[in-house]
Formats: sequence, C-alpha cells, structure tokens
Amino acid sequence: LSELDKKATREVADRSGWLSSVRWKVQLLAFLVLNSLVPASWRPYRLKGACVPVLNCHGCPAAATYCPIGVIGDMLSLRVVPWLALGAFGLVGIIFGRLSCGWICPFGFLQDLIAKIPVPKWKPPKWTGYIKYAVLGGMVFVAPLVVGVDSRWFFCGICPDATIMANGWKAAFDGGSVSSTRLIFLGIFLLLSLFVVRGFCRMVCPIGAGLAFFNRFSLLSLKFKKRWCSECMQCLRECPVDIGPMADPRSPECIYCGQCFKCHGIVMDFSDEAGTAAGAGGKVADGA
Amino acid sequence: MSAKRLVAAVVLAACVGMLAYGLLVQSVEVYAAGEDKVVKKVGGPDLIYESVRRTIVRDSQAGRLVVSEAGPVECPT
Repeated sequence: LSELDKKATREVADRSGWLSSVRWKVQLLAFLVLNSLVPASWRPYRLKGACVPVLNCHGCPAAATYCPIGVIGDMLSLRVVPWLALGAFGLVGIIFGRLSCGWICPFGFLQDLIAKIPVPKWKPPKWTGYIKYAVLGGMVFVAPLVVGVDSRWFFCGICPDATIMANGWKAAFDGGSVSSTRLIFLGIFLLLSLFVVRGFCRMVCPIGAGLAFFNRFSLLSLKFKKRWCSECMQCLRECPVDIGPMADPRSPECIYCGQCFKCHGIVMDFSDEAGTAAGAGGKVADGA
Repeated sequence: MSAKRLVAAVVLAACVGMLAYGLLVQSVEVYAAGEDKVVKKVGGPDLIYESVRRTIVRDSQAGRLVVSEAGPVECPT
C-alpha cells in the first residue's frame, strides 16, 4: 500500500471506531431519556402525545413518550384515525429512514448487548424479513379493528418491550404478574436475538417494518462511492443485518449502524445522489 | 432532483399534513355513558393521552365514544 492508501485506511478505521463508540453512547442516552428513570409520580408531566418511533412501551411508569404501535392500536379500536401518530411516524421515517432503529430504540440497544454474547450467529434467509410486514398489517392495523386491543392478536399482547418495561416493572415493584404467554414470547425473541444479530428487528418488529418502507427514499441514506471502493468486501462482512451496502445501499433492512463505514466506499448523508448497485448495470454514485 | 427525492418530498408533505391535521384539526365528541349528551371534545395530544389511558371507550351499540366508567388505566398492557 502506498503511504496515501495507508493514511486513507487509518482515517476510515478511525471514523468507524469513533462512530461505533458514539452510537453506544447515544443508545444509552436515548434509553435514559426515553424512560427518564424516575417514576411517573416524580415527573410533572409525560410528553403528552409525543410518539417516538421506537419500541419503548408507554405502559412503563418511567416512559417519557408514547409507543406509536400502542397509540395506533388504541385509537383504531376507538375507530378514530391516528393522524398525529401516523404523521409523526412518517415524518421521522421519511427524513431518517431506520436510523432510530440503530441509534435510539431501547430494545434494539438490548439486542445489540445480547449480540455481544459469543455464540454462533445464524444468517436467516431473506424471506424471514417479510414476516414483520405481516405483523405490522395483521397485528397492528387489523387486530385492533377486528378483535380489539386486549386480545393476544394485538401486537402489544406479545411485545417483548412491554413485557420487560411495563409488566416486568409492575411485577417487580407493584406486585403485578406477567402472563406465561408473554414470558414465552419474550424468551423466543431474546433467543432469536442471541443467535441472529438484531433478529427481532429483522423479522418481527412492526416499527422496523413501518420505517423499512421509508428506507428506499428517505432523505438520509447510505451512498456507495465506487471510486473509493477497493472491493475489500469489508462492508459485507461487518454488516450486522447481512445486507450488502455496496449492492443495495438503500436496503429496507439497513439500520444505519455505521459498521460498514470501515469500508472506504460507504458514506451516509442527506445528499441527493442515486445509490445504485455496483456492477448492476445502472448508474453508480461515483462522487469525488 | 431525482425521482426518489421527488417521492420523498411528496411523502414529507403528506406526513406534515397528517401531523398538522392530527395536532390542530382532529377532534372527536365524547358522550356521557348512557346519555345522549356530549361532555367534551378531545383532539390532538389529548386524544392520544385519553385513548391510551382508556378514559374514553367505544360504545359499539351506539357507535360513538363515551367516557369510561372504569376510570383511567395506567398500564394498558
């Protein structure tokens, strides 16, 4: 490698390491802010009506904001269109795509911690990624209208975050109990996250499914710069959700974690460039 | 402007519209339980707050929203 290449490699490694370190801090901070870590009675007021598109149950006494899934379900069961929740959800999605999954979501943070446990990881087939869309449609939009929000068919009935942060909190501090159905699903989802990095996000999460829809045309996106690519394939190896940022920088599965930034050719910004596949015969974003 | 950016601009405008409508315009009438009397109109963040706490429920027979007799639910899950 020339001196210039060595310098560029060092710079990319520094950028990636710095970003990874920042992401952990942001995730921890987001968990603390979203849950305030003080009981509701100590706080003057929850951020009334504020829906943040991450899996953070407002059933938890410490929650500072509302989960859009619970809000959408509750309002649909009243036969009222949740315009405010849908608008807030869409606004975050169209600007940032799935950034909140990778940087803010408390359950995503928990999954990242679980993924640190050294066990063999499984790469699920691509079709498993479509399950979450069925969950979003069936268990979030149809179930409240057909069977109501108290049914197990509504997503909150099996939501792992609700089990930990709401029911678990109640069981620990207020003498409540957690149903066996909830515990079984929690166990399944945690095991899934142990053997598949971000397994719950990739296969089940309805918020991830909703935001994934926006990834294709969100203002923030990954860009592949062919000129800077040395075809080291490191972006493919580092990607925790097994997408190829080089081939599909706007993949619905991308959570903008920044692991692929170890590769020279991947950048993330708001610029209006076509992020097309390398070697796919299309226009390649070839920014200087 | 690329086609993707154009779609993004349209979706962005739609989302801002939904947000503004939900925040400023949307309002539902809530009746007293068992009575034909509107007790309040709820909209915006209050609508989210009250629906999540189940202080308003749907009277499916009358096809309208009524004040819950059970009171607020702190933990909807």
